[in-house]
Amino acid sequence: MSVHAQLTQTTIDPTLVEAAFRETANISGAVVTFRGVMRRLSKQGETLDALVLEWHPRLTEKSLHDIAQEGLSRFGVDKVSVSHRCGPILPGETIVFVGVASDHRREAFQAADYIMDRLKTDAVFWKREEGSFGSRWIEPTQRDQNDRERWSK
Amino acid sequence: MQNVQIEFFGRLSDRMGNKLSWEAEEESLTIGHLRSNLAAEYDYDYLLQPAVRGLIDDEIVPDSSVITSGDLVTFFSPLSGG
Repeated sequence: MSVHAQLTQTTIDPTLVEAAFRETANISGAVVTFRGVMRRLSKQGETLDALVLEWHPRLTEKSLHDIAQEGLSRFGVDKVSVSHRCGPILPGETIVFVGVASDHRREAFQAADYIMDRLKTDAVFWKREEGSFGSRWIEPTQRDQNDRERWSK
Repeated sequence: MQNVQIEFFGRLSDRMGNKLSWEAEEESLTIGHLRSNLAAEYDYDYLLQPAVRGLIDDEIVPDSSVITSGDLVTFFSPLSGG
């Protein structure tokens, strides 16, 4: 069982990251991967120039690792890998990659779902959208909170 | 009198900047006192919201926690997640 969590200011190449994960997970029966991508439009339909993820120099990467570890332990999967961008991110770029490897598919799906819900609410980031409207902070939506709460039941 | 080094993250940094050096008059200063003093000095009630968390040396602490010399104090705006 292993956990890998990485915070990076440089572009994540989804093909490379996924290939590297599959290579390390080559004895597992199920591999689930997820990639979150910077959207081009805001919820209000405005064109976005960038998303800026402010981070804490010590606590953000720790939060990624803790969430990945909890996903691994909770569902008993073999491997979890999380790579997360920080700083300015352009439309179309990968924000986050999550890979889960397990003996069986259900645990892999559930662990990936759990990890993403936790990342969307508990990872130590402060998010700002930039566009023609200027710059504005964004916080988790009620839907994000509800998704997070599913795992408390 | 003690000097307190403070960091701000998220929305808070728009008003407070990223770092602040604060001369506190109290000998026994808590996170809650510091929060109130800063909110008054900078006319910024957002600092008083319970969702704004105080930290000492990278640990989230309650408002009753006493700040001692050399502590790094941090205030987090509500996290937005990844």
